[in-house]
Amino acid sequence: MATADPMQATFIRSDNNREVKFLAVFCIGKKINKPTIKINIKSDKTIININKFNLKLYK
Amino acid sequence: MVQISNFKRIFDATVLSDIKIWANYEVPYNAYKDMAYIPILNKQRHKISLDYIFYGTIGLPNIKNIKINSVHYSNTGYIYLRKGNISDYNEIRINYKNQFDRSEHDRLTTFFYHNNRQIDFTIGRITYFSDMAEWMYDTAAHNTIVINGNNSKDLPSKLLKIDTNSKNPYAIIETYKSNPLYENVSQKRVVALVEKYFVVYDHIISKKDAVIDRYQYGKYPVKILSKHQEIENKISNLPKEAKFHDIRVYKLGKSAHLLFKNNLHMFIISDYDFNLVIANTKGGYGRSYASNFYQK
Repeated sequence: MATADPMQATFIRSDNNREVKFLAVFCIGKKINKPTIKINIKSDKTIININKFNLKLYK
Repeated sequence: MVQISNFKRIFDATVLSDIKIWANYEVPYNAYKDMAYIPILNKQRHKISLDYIFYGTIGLPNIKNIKINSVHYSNTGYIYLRKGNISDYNEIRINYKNQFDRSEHDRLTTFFYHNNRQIDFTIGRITYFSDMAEWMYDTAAHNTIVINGNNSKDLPSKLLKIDTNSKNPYAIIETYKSNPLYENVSQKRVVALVEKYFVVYDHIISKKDAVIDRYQYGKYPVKILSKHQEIENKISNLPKEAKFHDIRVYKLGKSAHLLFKNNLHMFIISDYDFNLVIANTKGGYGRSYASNFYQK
């Protein structure tokens, strides 16, 4: 039976109202290794970096 | 034939439930050779049973050698990125053409699964008789980007690139310039599975001033593990149907570490400062549901 029960909503609101980049990284577990995450913005591309993984996103 | 298919359906359902310890999978595995049963059979065979002796298949494939594959349904625009083997894997689902559920403004939402169980949330399906029923259709009821608190349009987006075969599978999706999800706003969303991590990257460009929100639901309550400061609630542009109350606003800077109740960690960074908003609302069934979807 479908219901309507109490729950919580969470959202991130940016300070910038024209252009913004969000990089969200998730993992599950009691003991986790905190990842190194970066957004590297260059003139022709953006590189998202998670530990040793790089993904180039061209404009 | 109907009886046989119902027979399999019962076992498929118990794979996900806590009652599976009472179900014996030797006969259905013998009949259907469904790889989904192997992790359970491995556990059940720690003790030799009469079922194993009479009905069991001798030897089972090594579960660590059974890779789970990603799937891309190009006609409907559903992507299921998967990484790992059938007993230990992560999965991200995203939709760039069709809805995941009826009448919902849910394009580019994400679902996270770990070993066939959903580990994040959405609002789910609320009963039609509830005064909150309209809320379940909203874009803000999903793990999406929301502009000015409004719903996104029911339009497809473009898949720029997908790599389902590499060690770290990923997909890059962009809204169409001529028909974006929000007027005057272009969006790019990247999903990836890197090591043990679920990755979601968003780039939003608006031609006009806009309130840009990144919604993420998890098993509540959420804890903020990084530096934060509660600030006055001056939040506007909230989705009307959500009827948010007890709203708390936290200043976080350009990065944050959040922890949901089921030990789901969320690390988020941005190129601009952001605030976290936590609000009470209502949700329906399927907020965190499991699926029985295996790639054989």
